[in-house]
Amino acid sequence: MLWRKAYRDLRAMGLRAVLIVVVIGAGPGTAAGIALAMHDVEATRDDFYSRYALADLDLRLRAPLPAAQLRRRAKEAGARRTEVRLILDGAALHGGSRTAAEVVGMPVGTRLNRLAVTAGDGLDRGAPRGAAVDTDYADRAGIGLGDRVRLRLAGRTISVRVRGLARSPEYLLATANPDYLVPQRGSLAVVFLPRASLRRLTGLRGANDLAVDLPGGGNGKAAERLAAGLPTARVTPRSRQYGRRLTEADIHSFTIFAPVMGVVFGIVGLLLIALSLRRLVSSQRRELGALLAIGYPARTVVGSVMLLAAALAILGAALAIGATIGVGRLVANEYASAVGFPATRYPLAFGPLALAAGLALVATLLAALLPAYRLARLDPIEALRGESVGSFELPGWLQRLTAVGPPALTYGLRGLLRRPLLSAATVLSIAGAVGLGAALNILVSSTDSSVDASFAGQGWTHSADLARPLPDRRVTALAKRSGANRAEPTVKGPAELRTSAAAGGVGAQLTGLPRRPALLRLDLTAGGDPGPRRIVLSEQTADRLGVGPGDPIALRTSAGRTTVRVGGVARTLATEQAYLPRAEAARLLGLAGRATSVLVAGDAADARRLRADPAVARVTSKASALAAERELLDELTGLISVLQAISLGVGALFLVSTLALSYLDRRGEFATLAALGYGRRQIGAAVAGEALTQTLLAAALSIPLGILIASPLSRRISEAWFEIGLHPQAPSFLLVILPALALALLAAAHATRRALRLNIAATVRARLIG
Amino acid sequence: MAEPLVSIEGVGKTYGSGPARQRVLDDISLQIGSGEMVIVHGPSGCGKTTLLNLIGGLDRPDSGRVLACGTELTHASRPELTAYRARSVGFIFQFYNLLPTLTALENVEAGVRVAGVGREESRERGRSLLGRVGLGDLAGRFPAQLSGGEQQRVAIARALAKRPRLLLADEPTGNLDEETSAGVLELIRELNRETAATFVIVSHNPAIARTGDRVVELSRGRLAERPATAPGAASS
Repeated sequence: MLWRKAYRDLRAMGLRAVLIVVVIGAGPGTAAGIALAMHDVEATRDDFYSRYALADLDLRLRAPLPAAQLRRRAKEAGARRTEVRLILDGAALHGGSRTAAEVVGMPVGTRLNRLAVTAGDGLDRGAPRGAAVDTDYADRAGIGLGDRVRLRLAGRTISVRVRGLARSPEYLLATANPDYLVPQRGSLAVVFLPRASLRRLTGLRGANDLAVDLPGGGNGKAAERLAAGLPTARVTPRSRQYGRRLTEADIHSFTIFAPVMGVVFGIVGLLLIALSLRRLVSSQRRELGALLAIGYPARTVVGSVMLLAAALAILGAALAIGATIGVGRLVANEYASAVGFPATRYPLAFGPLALAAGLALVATLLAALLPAYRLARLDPIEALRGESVGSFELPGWLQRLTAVGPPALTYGLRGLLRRPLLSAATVLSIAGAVGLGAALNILVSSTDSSVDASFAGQGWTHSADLARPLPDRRVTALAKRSGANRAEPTVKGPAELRTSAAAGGVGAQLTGLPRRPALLRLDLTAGGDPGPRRIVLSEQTADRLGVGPGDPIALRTSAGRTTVRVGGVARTLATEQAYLPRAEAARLLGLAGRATSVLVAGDAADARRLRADPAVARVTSKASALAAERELLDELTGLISVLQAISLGVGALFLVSTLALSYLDRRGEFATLAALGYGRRQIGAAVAGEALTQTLLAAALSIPLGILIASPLSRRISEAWFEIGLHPQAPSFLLVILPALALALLAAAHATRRALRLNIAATVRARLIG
Repeated sequence: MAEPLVSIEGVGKTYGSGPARQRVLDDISLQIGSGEMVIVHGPSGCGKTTLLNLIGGLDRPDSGRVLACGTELTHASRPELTAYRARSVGFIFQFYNLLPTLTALENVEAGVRVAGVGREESRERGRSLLGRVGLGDLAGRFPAQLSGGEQQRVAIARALAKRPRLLLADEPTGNLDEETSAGVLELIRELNRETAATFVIVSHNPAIARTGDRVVELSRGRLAERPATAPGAASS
């Protein structure tokens, strides 16, 4: 009998049942979907780096050495796998455009840093001029399979044919200017050739790059042994690899977002489930009272409610599982393609699915059990009276406040006060969804403002990396020859910083600046400019070392070691930076009197002339760095748009379902209004007034909530990337609030249409719930 | 009888289809004059409420014609029916159908404002009518704070406040005890005399039949007129 009753109740509930199932499924499903996306993104990353074997350590030399010598050194250091390569900086020319290039001569069957071919074929010994080209560069330059690309390398121009497009774990987010942790997709033409071919084509011998897998990874003693005494230009352990750092930072940011989003959706979802089920049980009070009155035991009455709740819970759990998979795949795929992983992995993950189903089931059953239990303990006579007519009263001031405008509007506004818990839950859920969307916008605009502010203080327009270190005077002359107004030779190299207290060292790029830098200006947040034995550190580096102005730190480079004091702390876009006066930095890097790059202030023609100079390996511009930042933000915005769409979608779902449930409860009242002669406009005003008031309250609440959510996220992103501060601006909120208001109006229009289609004659005779 | 306020000619109404098909009204004709108080009496399920709904513009007949207050209701558009209900008709329901979040005064005002009456005048009429039905002191109370009889008095005030030409009441005492019912009926009778509005009251209660000018008996979808026994009938 109970089964039949549950089945018929479910059928009779019709739309109400559908809405409750949607409410049960949406919150837990979205929360678990975010967790599933997180799981899929991490699996995609791990799969990519493992399948294509990113090396533990990459050692770049200033000049080629015999390959056998490098292999021997690697073997002595205990390397498990070794690949020696010839990597040359130069330029790629295609279709009239010239792009800074890194040409990688690698073994065809390399075991480390393997290529993920996304189109065409990989490298082949039988095709010496057949190149694989980085997918991002190919996209940007409009290069297709079979095209020819000219490479300007070591004073020669060689022509290669594109036989494949590929992604490499080493160049996943290739950039022409790795000083900034802002990827400039396609700004670096990464071209892969068989090593032997590159040697033949350039006439160079030996290898200048060593990729190894070492015991203890790329940061241990073995790495130190390997680098000791070699003329290293760059030492890049796996953990400091640019693309990996960026994806780690990206995923780290995502791990910050995911729990926040999950918790917001989870809480509001559970709140609405509790309220919907409580309402459902209340509406059955009279018939359950009848069961009690004719002698059914309390447990049977509770069982009757629980059977119906279980049916709704099972349907809701099924929907939650579907929502988990849908949201998970959508977010993971969007994220993976934004980073550039060639394929997204969706390994089986029972955890998030079980979480979604479990949350939906447990929350629904608990939400039904409590009111059912209370009802079963009632005296049958009391239960038979049906749902108690809530004594609706308002304090005088609230009565006056809500008695604005025509009676239909007053009715709409007071509808919110009739069920304050349900209204509060709706307002909170919409505020949560809108606040979350606004927080995401704040983070994007804050990043934008920080990058703008950082670049705005810089006097340079272009940065030229030299093919090899040159004397300062020659570098200045080279820059002047190009027509640049001002030039500042700089020296850069890897260094390790250590404090006596800290166990491990921190890797950083050491940059030598002129005594009074005019082009590269440091944005100091503490202390002063670099001076003799006074180093300036980037904020993140100072934080990681736990030091401030005045503290001593040990500095080690491939050419020696010394102790310096922290002179200041600067806000930089590049996370791990250290600055010393140029002469001191050059001496420590073993490059006394020489420079590795030059910053210039000039125009595009000057940059072209600089690029044409054989001593210059690559030239990047501030404008392209800024453009790349915009591109990155566009990509981020794409991902954020998906997250916002989910936020708004769930918010809209909550609004529509609560409005619809509220409408179903008050059909009799709407029919009364219609019988009194109220038409579409007035009833629409009542419903829209209610929906808009809820949304406006939610919008007001979303402002502090958005800042509250954005604040810790901004701090965590600053730790992972660069200091972004918090710059809440009106558009960040309006971009989410306006669609929310539009959705509220749509939901109201839908409810109004339903109210106007009511069979007034039949509905008006029903007893009002009150 | 002068020009009738309500004219029903050959109206038929059927509900359901197939074996569940039920002919509720069968070729009904009825003329109701201005200021009359007509009681439609009959057993439960005989079609009384259907007839009231047709006169009130809440439903349409399958056949025949309904003309009320100068409006042809049979083929009127939805907005025309809405305007007709807003300006010409007042409803009194069995379950009062007060809006629970509006006070007694606001409920009455809600019935007036929809007819296009301004805020101040609506309030004035509301206070006056609530005073007339004996609820002047309870104007600020919400429905849940009123007894069943008080709620029905508010509903009567709401129906009359717009000064309709036609007032339709569906079992107005169906949910009240005997003593309260008598009070409400007495009030309706007095208001009929004072306002000159036409009252059509549907009830299965024989006691109500005694209050009307005319009593029409509805049985198995057909109408039959029988003489009224009410004091009102004697005086009119």
